[in-house]
Amino acid sequence: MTDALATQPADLAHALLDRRELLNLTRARLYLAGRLRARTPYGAAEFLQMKLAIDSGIWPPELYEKRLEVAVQVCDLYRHAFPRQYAASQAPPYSLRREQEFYVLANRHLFPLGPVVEAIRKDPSFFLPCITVKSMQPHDWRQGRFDFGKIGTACQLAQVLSGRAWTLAGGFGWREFALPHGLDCPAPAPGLDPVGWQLFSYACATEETPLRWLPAVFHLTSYQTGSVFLDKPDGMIVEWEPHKVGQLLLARRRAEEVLAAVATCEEWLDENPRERVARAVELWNRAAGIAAEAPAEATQYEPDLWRYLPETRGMFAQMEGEQ
Amino acid sequence: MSWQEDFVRALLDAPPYVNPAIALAVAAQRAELSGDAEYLTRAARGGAVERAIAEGQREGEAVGRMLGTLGRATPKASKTVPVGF
Repeated sequence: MTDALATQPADLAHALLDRRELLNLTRARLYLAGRLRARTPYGAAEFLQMKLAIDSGIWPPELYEKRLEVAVQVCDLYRHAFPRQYAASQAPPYSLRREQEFYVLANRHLFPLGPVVEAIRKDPSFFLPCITVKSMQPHDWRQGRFDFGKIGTACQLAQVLSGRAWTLAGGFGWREFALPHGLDCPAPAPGLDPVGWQLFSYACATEETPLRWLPAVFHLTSYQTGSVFLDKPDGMIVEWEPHKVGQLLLARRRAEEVLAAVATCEEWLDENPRERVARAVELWNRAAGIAAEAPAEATQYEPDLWRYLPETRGMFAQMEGEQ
Repeated sequence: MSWQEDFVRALLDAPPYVNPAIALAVAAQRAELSGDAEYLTRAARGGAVERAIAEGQREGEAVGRMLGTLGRATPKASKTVPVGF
């Protein structure tokens, strides 16, 4: 077997100087990957389908090259992210089957890609031209899209305190929340301004109980957690690039941390809502009282995450900008 | 002047080298033209194709970065007068 890395014919460099059109790295990569891919059944079918469409003018000529680029990129990611599985793979190099193996592994170990196993079973020619980031949110928090009565206690509390709660019955607010839980504490102050929010967040952070994670519930329900898996209710599209895959992996971990914190806070509140919700409202009202005395501008309450997580703000803005 | 002479000498003495991905692609094309249809299959069996593509890509990116750095480098006045001036 000839290994081009081990031996290079002496006349190769001179021959290439005579035919400089061959000195194109992208073309060489795509030629090698395309040749190997077209030797598989699905690869050959894909090539013929696309050639037909391109020759008919339906698709632009560079579409097949883009498809090959995606295949090379995905296989490269597979080789780096899962080297043992890649080495043990029986699928031909740069084949569709090898890409699909990576989808399954990435979905299991890196970040959710949706029901890829099912999709491959239904359609053996299934492929992902890019990463489809699906939301990991338990509910759609946009107005009118969730049932107030079916969300957890912590989420209800966050909605009520931030003035965004509403119920299917048309009413919203403290009364609708307090009655079912049998609360008799004073009603919370209306929305906090940024100063009040900082005071409230700090007060929660100093709690030794799971109440310290209540600000995370606000972030979750207002799509401001810093993770694209929680902040994009309709999902988003990301290209198969190594640094973006790395960012998504970090974003998935961040999302899992937030969801775990919210779940713990909910469980804790549900154990004794009367006392524990009262404690949360006490902290809220105290923050509002202190903020009212401070010379702050009167602004409508919106939890401002970016003050506290500048590193995720930069990452999120970069991903949005590149999209 | 010695470092400039050394630099030019190193360039002149450098062996001919081709990016491994380009080298393998040209070798595969030559083999196919000469009737060896299994050349690439044999190369793929040992992982040579993937290595060539990966190392070729890495090399291409390194060259790109170097060219970018050269392009951004601050020009500096020479201490010698170029030939012809």
